[in-house]
Amino acid sequence: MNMILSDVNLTSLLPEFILLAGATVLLFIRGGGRGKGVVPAAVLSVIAALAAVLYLWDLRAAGFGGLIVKDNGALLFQAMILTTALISFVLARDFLPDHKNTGEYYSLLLFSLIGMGIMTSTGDLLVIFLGMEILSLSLYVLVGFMKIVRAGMEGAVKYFLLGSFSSALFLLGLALYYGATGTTNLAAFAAPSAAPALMLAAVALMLVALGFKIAAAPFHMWAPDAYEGAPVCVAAFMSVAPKIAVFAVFLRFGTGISGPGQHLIWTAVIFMSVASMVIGNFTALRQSSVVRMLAYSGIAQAGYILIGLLAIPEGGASAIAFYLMVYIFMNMGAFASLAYLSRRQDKALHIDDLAGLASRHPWHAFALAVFMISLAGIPPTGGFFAKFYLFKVGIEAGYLGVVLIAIVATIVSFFYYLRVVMVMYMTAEGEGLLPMRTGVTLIGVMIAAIVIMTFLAGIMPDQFLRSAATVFPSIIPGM
Amino acid sequence: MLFNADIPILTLIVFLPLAGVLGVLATRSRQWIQVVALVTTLATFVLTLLPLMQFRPEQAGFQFVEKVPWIAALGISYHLGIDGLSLFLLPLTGFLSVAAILVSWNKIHLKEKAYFISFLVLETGILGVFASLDAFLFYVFWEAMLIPMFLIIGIWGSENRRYAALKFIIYTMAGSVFLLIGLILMAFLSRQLGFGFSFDMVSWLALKVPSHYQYGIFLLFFVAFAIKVPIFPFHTWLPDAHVEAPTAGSVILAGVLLKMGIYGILRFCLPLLPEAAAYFTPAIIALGVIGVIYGAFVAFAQDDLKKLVAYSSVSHMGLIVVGVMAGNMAGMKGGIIQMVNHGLSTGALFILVGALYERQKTRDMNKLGGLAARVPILATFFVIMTLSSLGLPGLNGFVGEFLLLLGAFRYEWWIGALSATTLILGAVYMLWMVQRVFFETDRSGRPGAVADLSLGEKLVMIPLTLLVFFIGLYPSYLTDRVETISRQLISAPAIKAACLSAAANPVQSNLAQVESFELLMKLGKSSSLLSQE
Repeated sequence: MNMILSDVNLTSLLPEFILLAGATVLLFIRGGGRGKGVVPAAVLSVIAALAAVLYLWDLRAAGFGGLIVKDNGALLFQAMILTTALISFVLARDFLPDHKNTGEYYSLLLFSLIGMGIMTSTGDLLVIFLGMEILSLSLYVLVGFMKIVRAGMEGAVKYFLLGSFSSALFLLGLALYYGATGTTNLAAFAAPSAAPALMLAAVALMLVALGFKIAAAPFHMWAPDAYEGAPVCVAAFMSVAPKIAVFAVFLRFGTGISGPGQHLIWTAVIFMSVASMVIGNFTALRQSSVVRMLAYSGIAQAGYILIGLLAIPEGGASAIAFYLMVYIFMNMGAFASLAYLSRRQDKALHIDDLAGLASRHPWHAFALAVFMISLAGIPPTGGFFAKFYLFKVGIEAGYLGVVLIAIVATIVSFFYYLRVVMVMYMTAEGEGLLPMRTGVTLIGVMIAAIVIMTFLAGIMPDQFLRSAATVFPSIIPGM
Repeated sequence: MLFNADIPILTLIVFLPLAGVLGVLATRSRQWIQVVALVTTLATFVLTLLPLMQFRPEQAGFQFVEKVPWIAALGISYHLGIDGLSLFLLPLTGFLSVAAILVSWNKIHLKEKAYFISFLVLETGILGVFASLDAFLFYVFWEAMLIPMFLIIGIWGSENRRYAALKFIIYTMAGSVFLLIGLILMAFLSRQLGFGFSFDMVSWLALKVPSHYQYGIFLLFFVAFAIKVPIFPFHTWLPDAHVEAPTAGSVILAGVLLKMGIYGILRFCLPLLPEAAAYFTPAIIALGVIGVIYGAFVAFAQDDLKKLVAYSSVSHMGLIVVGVMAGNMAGMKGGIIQMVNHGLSTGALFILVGALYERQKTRDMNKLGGLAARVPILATFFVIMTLSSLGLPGLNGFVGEFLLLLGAFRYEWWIGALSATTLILGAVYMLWMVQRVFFETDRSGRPGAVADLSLGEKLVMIPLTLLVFFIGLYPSYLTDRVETISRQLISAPAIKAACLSAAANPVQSNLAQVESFELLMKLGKSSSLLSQE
């Protein structure tokens, strides 16, 4: 692809440039206690990036010879990722010990945001790979950020090894794709392939790599260890943000693939979805650590979202986007509650530690209960409407069987989500080890805001659906 | 006219308890929490009486309708309205909620705020279920109401409460997610049949669902509702939930929650899927009859008072199922009325059993006895409610049971005969219970004085007793108002049933009709009870 200078159009990467500037500056700031000076700088750059996203809305800015396309779909996903980052900053400010609460941490997070921004806004596989690597390298470091914790190192090493393996698979798939089509652009999907077998192998390899990034079964093995080893603020971030970026990539893949391999790919997606739902939910039942439970629940949630992928021409895209949006709130909210509770403790929080929480922290227990109920998909929370919408598009696309499996998986999930509620509300206090915190804190205010958003998403999803209807036709091929 | 037609009366009714939650949150002392909760439920109850007064019995279709678009992209609207089916369930809910607050008065010593909030949220959920005319809205209320009930059983229940709470919620939720799939399928069918993708239950009534879809959707619906009723063999959650729940929880559970199952069957299964309903009727009636007999026998074997009343509910609800599925006016009217009656008498029995438990610290009938002399007022109310529950003429239970049995006899004489065992078996276990608890010698080993009913409890029991007599002596107040809806409900499956098979034997049903008519005449009942098909 020949590129002339006028094609570059730097504005198309405006959010990324802002984040890059922020990340660079942060490296030179030495923060005080509790991220003084550092957190405001990081928050400011993310808010500036959000403003840039707003500025680019409806402009359809394209740059770098068409390699970067900031259409509304890309911008929507990027805005969701940036929101996740904002929440995670508040968590990190509260959670990290003072000597770790430095510019380095926030800088790495901003770099990962750049990577995800690139992933969401390109139709070129090579650029996707670049974005994915920027994201992954930052996350590898962040997982092992608390160097002294042994489990942290174990999780980081595991994540790094498996992650680089999956990157290599993506690269191999990319090479095969280039061999089959002569280009790295995703648009080549649409044309009937000259070498279907090669194409099939290429797509399969890339699917595996992307499946790894969203921790879909059977590529989920790293997730529980990495989440448990990582600081809670990192675990929160990496359980949500990369999923959003990868699903943006999935949506660009779209239904474009044609030829004899098509149904094989669909079978693979169905398999991933069903396996994630079944393995995630059943394994979550047996966890005693809250973070591991949430890790497996995240695997299951990825399985639900994959149903939306099966239904792309029938509104699957907006179902996925809605689910991810609600997922930000409910999952980040759950992790935020944990961060609040397990602050500056070296030990992993167990479900039994939550015993009697409702007596000592009624509001806090209520918030955590709302997040659990939303994750379980019980009305009137956002989680219910998100699931309802996904099931609806799944049935519409003709995957009633998959939806029925999802339903059974959901029933299983009630056990472990409601177990948290039961422990908090129905067990006598005195068994847990949690320190008492009183007064209004920033993180407390944020959790309250997330609770309100979780309800609002369930009660008034109409506005979102209407705007989603205008956003998605633009990025999905064949719609 | 107490209010003009522009006031969204149903919205007020449904969301007033939720507004009361804010009031409860704003108060600090226990006394005020209770007062706010009581005032809210009382106001809600008064509001639920307004539709009752202005309801036009002769008018078909829904009244007090409110409709605004909600999630337009998916054909979901905020649509409320009531008809003869839901008419009495709203005041019943309102009344029993007041009762629930009153019987909890000064008795909750753990997380009082959360307790009363749970009851208020629960009330909103239940009222919402009965008033919704949009299937999505219905489902939201249907599910949202489970969480407060789960908390009520799990936090304020007795020893084994966590197990019972989890069992309750997993059972009912497992059923309801299948209901959700059924509702989504209905919405798709609505689009396929040219009505647009919509969850509007009123427009669904016009759908002629293709036969091959009916059976699948019917089963998806039926499991959810059967668990709620509960129809044998889906009843196993009920005794656990009842035994572990606090008194007020049992009252709401038995009084209103179980009715939601029957309500669902009558609202969704029969009118929307008549062909499948006709096809499955024999099976459902069989399950109902098994429930009647099985529930009665198991109740007979219980030593625990609460368990006994819980199993008697299984038996009574089985009879209602038989009646409404029988496909004739008597059964249908009896079923709708008996929902109210059962709510009143079983709710009352749970209140009294709870009161007994508080005083004697046991529900084991082997450790009670001779209480009639020591708590005469409690005993009097208990006997009245027992008689109402087993269907003594002159009390409310008789009206419902009589019509239900009549319906069952008209369906098949031997079904009626089997169902009628409820009269004998019910009398056996209920009267034996009264004998063991209130008469015989005292086995408690605690000879001291026992406090009789408190003021709060009397305030609940007196209106309950009046209602029991009112319905028993003036049943046409209810039967007139459920006439139209009953006719609608039986017509759809009946027409289909006639086409499907000639299984129903007209000779026998006529015989039963004549006999029962004479019987009724002898008892001097208004013949309006028997307005015929």
